Amino acid sequence: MSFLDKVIPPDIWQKEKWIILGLLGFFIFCVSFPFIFQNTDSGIGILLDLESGIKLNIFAIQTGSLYALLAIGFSLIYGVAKQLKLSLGGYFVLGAYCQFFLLETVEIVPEFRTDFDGLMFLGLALLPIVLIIVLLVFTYTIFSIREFIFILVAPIISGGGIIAIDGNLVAGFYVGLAALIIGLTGWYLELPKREIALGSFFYALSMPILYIIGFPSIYFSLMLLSVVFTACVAMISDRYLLDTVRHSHISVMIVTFALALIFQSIVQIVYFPQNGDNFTRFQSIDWSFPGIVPKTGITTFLGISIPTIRIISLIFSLIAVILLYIFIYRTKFGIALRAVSQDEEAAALVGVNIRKTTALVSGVGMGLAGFAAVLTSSFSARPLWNPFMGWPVLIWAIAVVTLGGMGSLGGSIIAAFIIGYSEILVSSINPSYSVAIPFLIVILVMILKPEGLFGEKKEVE
Amino acid sequence: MDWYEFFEDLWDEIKDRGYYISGIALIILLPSILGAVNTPNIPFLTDIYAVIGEIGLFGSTNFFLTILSLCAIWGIFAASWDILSGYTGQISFGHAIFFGLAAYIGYWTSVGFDVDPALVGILGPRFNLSPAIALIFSGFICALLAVVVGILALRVKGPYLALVTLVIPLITASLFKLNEFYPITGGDHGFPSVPDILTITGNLDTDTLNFYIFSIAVLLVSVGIMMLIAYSRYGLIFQSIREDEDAAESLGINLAFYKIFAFAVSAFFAGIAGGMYAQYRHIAVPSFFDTTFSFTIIIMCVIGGIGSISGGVVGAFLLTIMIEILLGDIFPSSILEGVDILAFGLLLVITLRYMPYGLARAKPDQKKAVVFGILFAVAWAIVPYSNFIDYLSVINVENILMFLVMVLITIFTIPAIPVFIVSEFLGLFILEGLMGLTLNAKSLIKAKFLIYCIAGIPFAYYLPKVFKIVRLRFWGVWPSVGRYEPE
Amino acid sequence: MFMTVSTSEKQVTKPERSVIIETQNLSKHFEGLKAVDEVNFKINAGELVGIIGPNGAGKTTLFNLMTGFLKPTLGRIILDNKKNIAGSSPHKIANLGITRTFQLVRPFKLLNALENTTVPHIPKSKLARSSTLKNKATWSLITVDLAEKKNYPAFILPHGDLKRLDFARAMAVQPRVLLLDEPFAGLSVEESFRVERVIREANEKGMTIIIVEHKLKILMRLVERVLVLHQGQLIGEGTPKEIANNPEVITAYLGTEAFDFE
Repeated sequence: MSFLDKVIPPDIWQKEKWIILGLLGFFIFCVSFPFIFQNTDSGIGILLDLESGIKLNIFAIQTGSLYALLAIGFSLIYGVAKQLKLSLGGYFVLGAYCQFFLLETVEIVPEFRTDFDGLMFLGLALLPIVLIIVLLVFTYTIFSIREFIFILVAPIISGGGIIAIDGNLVAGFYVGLAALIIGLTGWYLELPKREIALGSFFYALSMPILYIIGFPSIYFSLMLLSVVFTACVAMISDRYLLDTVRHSHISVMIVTFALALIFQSIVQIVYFPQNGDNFTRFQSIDWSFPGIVPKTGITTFLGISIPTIRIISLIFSLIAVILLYIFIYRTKFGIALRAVSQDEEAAALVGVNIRKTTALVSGVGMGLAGFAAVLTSSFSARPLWNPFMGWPVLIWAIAVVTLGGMGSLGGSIIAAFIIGYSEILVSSINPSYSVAIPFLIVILVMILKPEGLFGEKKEVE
Repeated sequence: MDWYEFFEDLWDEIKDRGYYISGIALIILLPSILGAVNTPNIPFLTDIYAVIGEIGLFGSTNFFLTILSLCAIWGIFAASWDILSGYTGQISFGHAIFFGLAAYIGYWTSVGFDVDPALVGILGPRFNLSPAIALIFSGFICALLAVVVGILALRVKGPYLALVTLVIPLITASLFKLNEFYPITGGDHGFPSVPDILTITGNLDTDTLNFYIFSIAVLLVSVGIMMLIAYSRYGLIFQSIREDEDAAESLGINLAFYKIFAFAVSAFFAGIAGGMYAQYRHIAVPSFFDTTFSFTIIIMCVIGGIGSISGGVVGAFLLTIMIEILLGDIFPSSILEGVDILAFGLLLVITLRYMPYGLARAKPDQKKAVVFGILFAVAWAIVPYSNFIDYLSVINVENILMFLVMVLITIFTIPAIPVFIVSEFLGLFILEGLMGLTLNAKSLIKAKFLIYCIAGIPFAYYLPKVFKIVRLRFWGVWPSVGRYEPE
Repeated sequence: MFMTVSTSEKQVTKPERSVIIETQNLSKHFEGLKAVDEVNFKINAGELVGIIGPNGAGKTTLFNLMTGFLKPTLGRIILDNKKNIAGSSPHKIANLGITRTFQLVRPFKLLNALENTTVPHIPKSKLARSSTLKNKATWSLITVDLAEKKNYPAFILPHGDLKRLDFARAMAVQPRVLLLDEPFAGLSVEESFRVERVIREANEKGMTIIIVEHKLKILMRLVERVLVLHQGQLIGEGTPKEIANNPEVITAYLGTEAFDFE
């Protein structure tokens, strides 16, 4: 079986002939629509316009790829762990605010620290340190002293390097923390220890060097750190909170829902003490893709000007999807993951650690949600930065996943693009219907094919 | 048949239903205990009232009665969720759809289809039903809507149903907020003045008491009806559907009918609760559709125990009193909204982590831990404030007894002293230092009580276990020779 | 206690009986796979029929079709020579007098044994008093020797008891045709004897019973007639002795010549 066969089953044409034809038609229509129809002063008119056509297409693909990131996480967790995690939106909020917190701490945006209560700040800063201590204790019990030193040296080099060059203590601390987490992740994945050490050192050396060259490696580390932090929280919560209720769909849903509420209210208590006075603070921030491009930057290519952040966000989400496919189909852990998704008990019998696999998969899925949050932070318009922004995210993810079919990764990606395209196209015509039309599509598909486009039909008994 | 069997049965019945009976009796007697109505001058009742008033634990009488009315409304709502999800197994994560809709329907039917009373007869028809009829009418409309949702529910099962129901109220809320529907729904701000069933006399005491009596009466009637349904043969069929749909259907049970029936019953009472809540707050706003509303009742049912109508009611009373009376005094209203949701979430996560079947069906040692933890907390919140040495200034039987009780409490909680000191230090540091709260004497005692509860319950759980380890370490197996203790 | 079960042939030849259920060209296709393919057979009233066949032969699918859990792609199922029940919903079919048990035991786990057998009585007698329902349910339990465990919740009962509880539950529907899906699977010898006795007693009261079973030794001494399914098709029909000597069945079932019913 080749790599491609696993992604696209060979007999899909026979089984899903009409769906594939319909999808082709839909996408051809969607791609060509913005080239032909334009929103002129007197309603919608036929007007050939190359530039806005390409622009809209890129917008749509970028929106779709963001939805894909969210939906893949949701769908992957369902496929492997058979859990519907409603905490997706909560982790989205967590990722976004973690990044914001880190940027504030490293004094990227110093003016926002003025109205920040000092002690509260200290308390928050204590949290990751406590986390590190716990992780260190765990690590020390597993590793022999030599590997332990290896993993500890990498953060010292990278963090120390940044401190030596820039003099920013906090930035150095967090860059070092990222190095530590890379090492620990490698240990958790049971990679060969030599490779862990190599990876840590590669990262440790590259960060200061890249910084000297001019690459914003601090921002990069912070971005990575907030994604990994989200994933860590997801893994820990999976391990300690979902353990007793793992096999009950409903209890898992209730617990994860509660988790989302907890994250939301923590953010609400910490960042919005005056009942929402600070909402404007988040909307007025001139967010860029942290430190890499200015928010208003525009790339001109072949005479077509497109906002740069959209392109960068698109590239990053594509990279994430590709990495995910490599992870699932090319690594040892990916095999274990797919084995668990087929049959949990049989996989356990041949030596797969079920709890670890499910914890890891929820880490990956929720890490993707955090990554999507980091990417979306480039856009000030949507989502509005508030503690409740997770719920619409969750609902979009649910819509995408039910459209594509539960547990089907390919289906989720295609559905994400369907919804992304329909949303962008509709909003280019009339923004007030941009929410209703995609949901109408979802409901139509659910009526015609309740298991989704590529979902597996459940057999009786 | 032996002559004493009857008494044995009676005793069993009282043991089984004792909590309910005493709870209902307490709720009914409460206004007189609190002095809201003129009671015959019973020394016992006046004493209790004096103690409660002195500590100031419950705030003023009116406030406490208001909170209890709120408890009753939540109790109806939680029980209505339980009959659908706990009994029939059709998990609904969006029960607020019925709650919110009933609030709006109550306004539409008792006032009309527009916001501005000056526009009477211009924009839409006006019904001017009496609020009581409007309440029942909105219940029936909700039941009708539930039939539609139930037909949907026939196609999707289990977690998918939960997902679908999660989304429905959110979409409805966003529709209600649209500007296009402003004349009908009142837009973002909803309707400001939902008329009350009870005539407003202007006398705060009487109004509060009347609403309390009204809501408790509705609670008793509707929970009674729901219990009748749950314990009848319909309840049995509901449970069989929850356990195994296919098996139930193969035994000749009409799944479609009973599922829709469960939806309709549940929605009817959720509608009643929603209508009463709108009357309680005198508003109908889109935030009634919030997921937190749907979720609160799930927490209540989980804590009380899913699958028993009374569990939801008990959970509703516990949680509402905790949030409104304990947290409401400690935290200022500006951050209370975040704190109570945080408390909900943490409570739920912890309950499901350690007691997946709720408090009612927890393991014995966990139940003991909860009871003893709370007792420790009560004792330690009270002991420093009661100068119990003074009891001995007047020597009589009562005072000596009370003194002995206090001494006993103090002795039994001595091992917990370091835990309480540390937790008090940490907790007050978080509250006062980090969050910058200012606590007055009344809220300080509540905050301490809360902190002691948080520290005391795990302490009471682990103390016997630690003691066992220590005992085995130093004395070997001696104290438990010949006794098998399964873990 | 052990019941002595005669393994001899049926001595009494029963009188001529009417056809109670008949399938005509019954087929079910799953995306190209023909799970059940043009199956025709007739079952007489009061008969005890066995259906055998290798795994994946379509036995359970056939049961699902007959009880309405699946809709047939083609064909009809005729009850009493007049009513076509193919494709109607399970509860309607159950109320017409056809019910089933499941391959794996599927009790209502959190209900106790008595409540488990009360449930099927309810749609039959909607207006009956509660005490009547309770008596009927207790009687159902007595017929399968579970009366002393009536207050036990189903999830603590052992597997053998659950099999009998499933049987009692299906019997409580008072069906005319009872479909048993592997009633002997996973039972010890003693438990098998108990279940066997219960089945025999029900049949002697005039109930038509169809059994799918892999334990051929028990099946062959229990039933009067055997149907053999292979890859969705009916390849043999006859008394146990005829089937045991049918070469087509032997090759389909075992792939070899040797075929030992012991």
